[in-house]
Amino acid sequence: MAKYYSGQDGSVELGGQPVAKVVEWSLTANTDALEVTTLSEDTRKFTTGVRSASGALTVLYYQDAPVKLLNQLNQDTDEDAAIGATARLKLKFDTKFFEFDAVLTSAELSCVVGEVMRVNVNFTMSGDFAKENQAVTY
Amino acid sequence: MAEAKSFPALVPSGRSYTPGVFPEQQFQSQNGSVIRVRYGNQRHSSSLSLTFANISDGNAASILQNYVNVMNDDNYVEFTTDNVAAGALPVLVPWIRETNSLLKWKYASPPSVQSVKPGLSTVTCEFIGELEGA
Repeated sequence: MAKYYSGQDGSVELGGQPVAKVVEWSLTANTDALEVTTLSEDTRKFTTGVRSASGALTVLYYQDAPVKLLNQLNQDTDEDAAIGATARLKLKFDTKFFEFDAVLTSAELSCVVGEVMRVNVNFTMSGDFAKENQAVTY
Repeated sequence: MAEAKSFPALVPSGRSYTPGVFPEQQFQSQNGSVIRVRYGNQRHSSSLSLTFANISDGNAASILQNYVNVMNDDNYVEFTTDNVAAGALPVLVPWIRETNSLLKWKYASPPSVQSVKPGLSTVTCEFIGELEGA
């Protein structure tokens, strides 16, 4: 039977350290389409432009699970002097992963009756995907 | 003596043309009536604006070289049906190429090169149609 992946295979690392209580991550990779249509043509033509990626991850606010993410987002160097402008994110599923530097752009904390409090963090990739040991090639 | 310099074989992605004006002086009296003194029957100062979006840097360089070749002497630009006038119906082509007048295309300003990504640029050119020493 062919191997498939599910949520139980997923995990996230921030700066090489596992992020606890991750319930969801998503990643969207984009390439700009640059128009190269000329006046002698009657259909639009495009070439590839700049690539980018962005995504989100959701972490349960269980003990201090999302604190490092929030400190990174707030650039709180008082709490963690090692915080830089970008964070190294590794989005894993089973033995495969996407690894890249990212700017954490927003965090949304939600506290709902009957649910564990959770934090949705959005990020934008800075630079390209790391090539070494990457099982998924772009 | 002015020489024609052929524009590179590139088809623009945007083109804007105005046919220019006739040489005249207007005098408006206080009651609003206008008298025009016409100094010639040839239009002048036609304009052509071209955009070459997302072309290779090599093609962008060929436009810059054409600018130098035209403007470092008293030369003018020659367009063909296959490049700058491409896509226009034959009835419009003589206007864009100014082959139906005595006007010669010169660069009104240096070409502008905007870098889009490595290896790709967008170039805009402004031309003015001038009457040569008539």
